[in-house]
Amino acid sequence: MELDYAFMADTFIKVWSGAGATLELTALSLLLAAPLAFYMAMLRIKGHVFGSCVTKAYISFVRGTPIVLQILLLYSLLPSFLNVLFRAVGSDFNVFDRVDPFWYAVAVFTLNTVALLAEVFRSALLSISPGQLEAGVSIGLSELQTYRHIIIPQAIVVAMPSICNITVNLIKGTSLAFLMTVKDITAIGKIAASYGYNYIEAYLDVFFVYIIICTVIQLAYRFAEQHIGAFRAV
Amino acid sequence: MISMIMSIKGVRKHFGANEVLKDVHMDIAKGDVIVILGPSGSGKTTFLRCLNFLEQADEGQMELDGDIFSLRRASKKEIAVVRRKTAFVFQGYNLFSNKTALENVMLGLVVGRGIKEQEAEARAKQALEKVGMLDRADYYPSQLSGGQQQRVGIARAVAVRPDVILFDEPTSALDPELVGEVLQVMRNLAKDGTTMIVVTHEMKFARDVASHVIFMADGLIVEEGTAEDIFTHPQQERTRRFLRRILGENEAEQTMMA
Repeated sequence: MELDYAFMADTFIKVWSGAGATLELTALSLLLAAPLAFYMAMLRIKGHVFGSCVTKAYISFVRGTPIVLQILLLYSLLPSFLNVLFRAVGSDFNVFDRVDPFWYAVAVFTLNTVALLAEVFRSALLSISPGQLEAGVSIGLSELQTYRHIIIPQAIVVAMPSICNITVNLIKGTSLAFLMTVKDITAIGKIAASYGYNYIEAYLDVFFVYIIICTVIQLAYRFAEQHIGAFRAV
Repeated sequence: MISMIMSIKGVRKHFGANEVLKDVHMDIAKGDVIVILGPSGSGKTTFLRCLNFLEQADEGQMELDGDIFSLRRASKKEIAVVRRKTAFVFQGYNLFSNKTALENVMLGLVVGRGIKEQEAEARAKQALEKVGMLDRADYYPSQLSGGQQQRVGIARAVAVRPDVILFDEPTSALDPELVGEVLQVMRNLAKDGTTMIVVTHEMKFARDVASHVIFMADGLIVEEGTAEDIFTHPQQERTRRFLRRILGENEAEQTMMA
């Protein structure tokens, strides 16, 4: 078997143009998911009965279904649903033409990440000794201020390795966005390959790009963890 | 009559079927050092925690600096007022792990009370100086010994200049050789006229420093009086038994006979 190295080198450069979409999708999903996930974690920690039930049901729904299925379901449902919604309010906004499928991908991955992050946040927050909250309020801070200055900064350090895991999984997971016609790294590789059937070369390119990106991300997280966790025992 | 800085009446509290506090009262004058003694499970710690709303009492009333608060249903605002005028020193120190010693002391001033950074730093350094920890101002709690951490904990309480400082077994979690340094800091505070309520098992400290000793058992105040009253002429059998057990047979007999 002969590899077409010229094609491979060419495609390697081309595939990088999908990195933007992949990283944007990942970053947006994480950023949009974080506040909601934090809220869910707090509902469960505070023992809010209704909120805890909804959160638990939601988390087991996300964990119990394949992400491919979630993508297919949302991608078939959401556009039609939005269309009906716009018609109902009398707008002639054409959902099918005007909304970039990228945003449906953002929706799926955000909803997915919310569930994963909620669990990570919850266990991280619980790992901080409740005595520090008591100490905070005993010297005149509000509970909110204590969370902001004391509990959350420490919980983030605890959660860092798990958040890194979620990020890396998200980067790899977003490759499924090609199902929604989003042109991410994987999609561009496939398209390039399909002209001359150079699938192996293209897949190898895609393979290396993911490895490089994920390695850099992991190093960045490790650096960040060491930096913001400097207060821990040396 | 001496004016009371804090006056507490009728504190009751139960956990499930267990009645932990049955009508506890207490009056504290400015500069008082009240030491609460008693066997474990007598409700000392719970009582102290109720005073700072770390625990919600079933009943009880607190008069602090002329205002009256219900220990059962104080509003968030009222709780904030009480916490602003009191400070708590914990058995397990509870320092903020992500803050240096100096930041631990400053936080209550800057965030809790809105004092300007510069002034807060000066006050925090003063407080650290008082507990002999100024040279460790930039250390994180994980880099300090238990005794040092507790001294920072005391500085954190002192810095907010409360009317009363509540000490919950401040030396119980410490290695024996570290107890002395913390007690010394507390003696100095007492000498400076700091008003304190101290739950402790340190009998010598109680005898030397307390202006008033309270012996609690089973959620009740069994006996109270000056250190002299309690240690030398205990009236109640319960108190005598406790002192004998804690001080050891011989020493207890000696002091009681004296």
